[in-house]
Amino acid sequence: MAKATKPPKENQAKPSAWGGADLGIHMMVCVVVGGALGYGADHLLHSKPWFTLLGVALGFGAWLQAMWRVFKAA
Amino acid sequence: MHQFEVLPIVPLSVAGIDFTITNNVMWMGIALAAIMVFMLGGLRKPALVPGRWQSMVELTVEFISQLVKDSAGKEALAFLPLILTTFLFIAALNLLGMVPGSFTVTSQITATAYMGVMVFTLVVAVGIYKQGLHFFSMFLPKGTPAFLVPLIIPLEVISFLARPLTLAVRLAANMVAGHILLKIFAGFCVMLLGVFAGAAVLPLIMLVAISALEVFVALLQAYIFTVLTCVYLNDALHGH
Repeated sequence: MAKATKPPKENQAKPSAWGGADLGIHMMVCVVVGGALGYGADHLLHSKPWFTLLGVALGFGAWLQAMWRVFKAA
Repeated sequence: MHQFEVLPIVPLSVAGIDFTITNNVMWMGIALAAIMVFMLGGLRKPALVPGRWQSMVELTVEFISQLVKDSAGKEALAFLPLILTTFLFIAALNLLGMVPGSFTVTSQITATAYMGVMVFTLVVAVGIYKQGLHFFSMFLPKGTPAFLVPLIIPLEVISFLARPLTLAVRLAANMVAGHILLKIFAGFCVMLLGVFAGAAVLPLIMLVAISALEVFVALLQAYIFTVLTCVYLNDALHGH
């Protein structure tokens, strides 16, 4: 397995501000993905609706985290 | 709406699998042909001092290769053919969608979703090839306090899985929204003609302006898709 090697300085990518282009749609998508994962877990474990609710909450959290990351980078 | 409907043109079935040529497939073919004409036409008689067409082709290639170098590092230049193809394909589909009476393939979420999923698969494959299982350490950012670990990992996993969907939804949503906006202003024009014809000029001016904006958006969305592909590739190649 190839070990991760740190690239020399000039090979390293510059930080990009394009992460912010995501945020609006990212919110919807994160909530949908979290909800879908939760729904799948509910379907397998017959525990409707608890994992779906947890998934939606985590999806929203994921969006907040993404927003915080963009905010910090700016 | 009529302009977003996928309609069969040549019904075709091979061994029970549906291979129907739809207007979707047809316009993808036209886009590919347009790209080939653009690239091959520009390099038909390569000259040391390039003419107009050749400089267009060279500018495009250099622009994308500079973009790859800046946002994903020199190593990512190995993926330049793929990234350049992605850019040209999306740009061609978006711009062809602006031709009146044509079909915008990128307004179909299925078309954009497969591109998003391909980019996602590529990133995961490259990440595992380059970094091994260390690639999945991106789910746990450095310096996370121990009590936050059970919270941060699901959040990072959701963020990661959201990437292909974000790519797909953004492109499709922008294309659909642009075309609906054009349709609405065209509708205003027609409605005002029946009431007070002179006033119909106002939405017509807007229509012209929005058409110009949509051409810009078509190129911008292709560019954003390309940049984000590079950003994700950078994660896969260099880790966090």
